[in-house]
Amino acid sequence: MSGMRSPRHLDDFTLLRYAAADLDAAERGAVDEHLDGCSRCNTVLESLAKLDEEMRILAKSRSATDGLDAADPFARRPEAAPRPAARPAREAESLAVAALEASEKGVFESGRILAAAKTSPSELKAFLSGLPLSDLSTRFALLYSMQETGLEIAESPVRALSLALSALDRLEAEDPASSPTLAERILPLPTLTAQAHLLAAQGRNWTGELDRAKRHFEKAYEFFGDSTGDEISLAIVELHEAQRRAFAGDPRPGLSLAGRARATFAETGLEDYEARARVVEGICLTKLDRGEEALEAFRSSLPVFQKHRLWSNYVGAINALGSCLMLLGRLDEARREYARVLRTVSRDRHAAWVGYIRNGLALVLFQARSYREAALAFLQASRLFRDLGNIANALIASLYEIECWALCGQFGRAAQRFEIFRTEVARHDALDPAIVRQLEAALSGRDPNLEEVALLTESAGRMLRDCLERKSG
Amino acid sequence: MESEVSSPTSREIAEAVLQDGEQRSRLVAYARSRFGIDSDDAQDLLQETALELLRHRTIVRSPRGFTFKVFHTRCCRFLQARQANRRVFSSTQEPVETACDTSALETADRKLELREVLETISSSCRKILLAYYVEGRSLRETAQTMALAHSGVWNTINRCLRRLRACLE
Repeated sequence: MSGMRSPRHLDDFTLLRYAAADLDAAERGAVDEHLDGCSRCNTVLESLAKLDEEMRILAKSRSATDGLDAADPFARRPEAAPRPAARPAREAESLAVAALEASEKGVFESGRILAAAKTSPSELKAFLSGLPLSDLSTRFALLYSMQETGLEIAESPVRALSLALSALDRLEAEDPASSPTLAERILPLPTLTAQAHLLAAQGRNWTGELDRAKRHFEKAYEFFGDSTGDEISLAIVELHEAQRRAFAGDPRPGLSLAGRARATFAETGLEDYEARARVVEGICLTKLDRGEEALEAFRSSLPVFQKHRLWSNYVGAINALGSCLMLLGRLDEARREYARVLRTVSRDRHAAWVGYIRNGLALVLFQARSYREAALAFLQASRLFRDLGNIANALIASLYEIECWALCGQFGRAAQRFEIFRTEVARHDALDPAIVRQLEAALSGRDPNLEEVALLTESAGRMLRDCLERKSG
Repeated sequence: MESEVSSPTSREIAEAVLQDGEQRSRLVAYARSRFGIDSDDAQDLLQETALELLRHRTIVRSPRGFTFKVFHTRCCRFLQARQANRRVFSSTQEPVETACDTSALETADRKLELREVLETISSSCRKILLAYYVEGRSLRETAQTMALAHSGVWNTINRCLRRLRACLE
């Protein structure tokens, strides 16, 4: 503890860190020991604890409005609703026991909801309509299944959206209890509605329906605020809304929201969410032409994702870092970053993620117009995806590879790769034959129509993803 | 690339939710000594913390750490609400007055004074405080990146903190 200079008393900075819960266990132990026998330091601590509280209030009012219009639904975080009066200890204990039992059952039952989410929308609706939402464990099951789906949304945004919309239908059909029940006290129905809106908004963010996502985020914020008021839930909504604003071309308020969310995650020790907020801040900073700060944000998140094995987030951060470096004109540095990451991530253990990283590298090279290198990177990504049975991504990477060969003037190679692509598409019945013929026509001849190839590649990529996602349910 | 962290077990969640007598007493004592919150209110805040843990168990990695941090945050919010002279409880019982309570006017004056003093303190101290309270960075890490080992800077920070707390006394 470098700050504890005086042999007799603790300094103000150390005591402020103690008051702010910023000391590690060893430091805290040493301070506790000193405080046991020092009334002067206890008096100073009391005063610094007040300073800590006042600073938090000031910071909250500052961060609540920075960059956000007063009429913005996210201008201020909703205050928690008044709590019921304290209850006798025995009653409180039985409430905790009931909540814990229901939560345990809910963890188990959430698996059934997740399995139902993989069936058709009508089957899912029928399943959800049979759920007894007056039962607390069922409420927990629905909550956890939606939270889990949100965490793995990259796997299937369409499926996540389907679960969210079906859950909203189900919740709307539920009659609110006339008197407060135990289930309502522990996990209110509006909290489930908020979670369903959040998941729907996340799904819409992924499918690019940003205006529709906005409405769901606002509802999620309102319902969380009006029910439990849990700051973590509100911060998660802010985080995703910040990302939506960055995508929608409104990065300044996005940056404020991401910062506000990050402060809550830091305060509650959720370091993986804190890292996610750093990435969103980085995306906003990139769009605000503050590239250096964005790089710092992306880089700070990587060790956290690595530590928690959050590969989807890790790859997202790497690709954002690569794009930012490319925008700053530092292509060589971007290549080095990718090379370093590819050395770090084991191909044997994490082949799928290596595919995504190679794909990210290929996109950076493509944007930098290094088409030959991009073609080779897309080829490697495509092989990795194909070996793992990820057909949609394998075919999309192949499409871009073909376009890259055409763009660097290697038309023979483009035609050769197109033949292989056509065979694969037919084998998986993954694309409308008409668009395949259009692509062939655009690529043929001595002077292929590159603009047409680019447009067709884009639309064929979307069709491939939709078609294969439908097939996989 | 192996993880150092795993998801908490049901047992860890149960221990954090139910808490044995000693853990509970320690947290209640913490709320009393740090925030002046009485035992009944602290117990209630602990219960709310446990319910929040269950509502977020899919994202929590360390239930005990989460419980402490969320409890601490809830104590802060409780105090802020009380300081702002808001009704925290929906019952008719009035909260017990403590030395922390001040009138709304005094609170506003003090905040204004604190803001003014913040504008006049050294830039290194202001940066550390803003990095911590606004951006959510650790005080220690921020201090380390600013090379606070230098005793001159260190003394400046402590002097600034003395000025800031003086305006709250």
